Amino acid sequence: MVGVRELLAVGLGVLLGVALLAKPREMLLLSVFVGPTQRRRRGGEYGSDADDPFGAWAPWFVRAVGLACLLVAAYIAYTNLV
Amino acid sequence: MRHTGLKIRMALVGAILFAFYSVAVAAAWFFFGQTQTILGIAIVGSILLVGVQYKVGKWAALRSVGAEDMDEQRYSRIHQRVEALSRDMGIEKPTLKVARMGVPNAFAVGRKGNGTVVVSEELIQILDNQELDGVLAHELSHIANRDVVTMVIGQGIASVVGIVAQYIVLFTGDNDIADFFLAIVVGNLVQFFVMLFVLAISRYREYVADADARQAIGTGEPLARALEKISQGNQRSQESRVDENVSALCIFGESTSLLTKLVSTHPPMEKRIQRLRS
Repeated sequence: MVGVRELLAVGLGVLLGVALLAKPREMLLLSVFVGPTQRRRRGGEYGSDADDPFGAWAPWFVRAVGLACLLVAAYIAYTNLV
Repeated sequence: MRHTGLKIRMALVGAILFAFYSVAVAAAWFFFGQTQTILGIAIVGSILLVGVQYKVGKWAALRSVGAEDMDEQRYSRIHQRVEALSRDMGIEKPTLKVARMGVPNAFAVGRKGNGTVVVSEELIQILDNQELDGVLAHELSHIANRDVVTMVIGQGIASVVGIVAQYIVLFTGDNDIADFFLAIVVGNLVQFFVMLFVLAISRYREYVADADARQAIGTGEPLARALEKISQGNQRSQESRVDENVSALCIFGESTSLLTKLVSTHPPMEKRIQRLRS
């Protein structure tokens, strides 16, 4: 029988993976590592946020993490649910 | 500081954040032994985390933009205005620094009594004296209202709640790959969720700082003009980028979706300008 934790790991993993792939910039800006005080000074003009506080590569890194999330979720689904 | 409506909303969001923190500490106590030691570690650990984030954050902020002390001779007017505004706001004059950031920008770091305001050379070049006064008054309001500390505490709460959620999932499971993965996912999702509230506070604080700046210099018009000038310059540079690289913008073009608004640290520029002029 499949446990609740395995189901949650797959479900929430897919949710996080899709969010990271679809909205990498927004997910990055929600991270504590790119907090409000940093974003005010990293490339943003006065009164606005920086478009890419950590450069253009950062969204691609977030997408890669999202893809990794989906792969791990798929692996857990395959080994536990199939 | 008046702004009753803003204060009520701030208090509400602050109470929600405090509730998140209390639940995290209570959960840590419940799941990890129900002893006073665990409670002590959770509370002292959170205070240390916030303290380190504050100290490192200030140091990193000044270092990352290469901020240098603002020369009292060359920028004598700015020094005099900041001194007068600080006196009016009842705070000690902060350290003034100047940096070449490549864009017009200014920010405040530190706390009341030990604050620093950094202004970019580009900002000094494009704004007239009155507009610059508006910007300086806004930054001084951030120090007077302890906004930097508030934001660091907010981020600290988001970190603590995320870490606690992660460890609870990890230590209550069977230690297999599904549990390990679930712990990381839950920790991140919880932290993202709490950060939504922290960013809401950040946007409220901007309105409050605008209102305080308006009160300090007697009118909101100079700051409104400064924001308008910077915003128009930004739009022009974005338009020229559209001409140069249309395809890139088609993928990453400016979005005004609800999510984009929710993750912003600042309220929409036009709303701020409208409030400053109302």
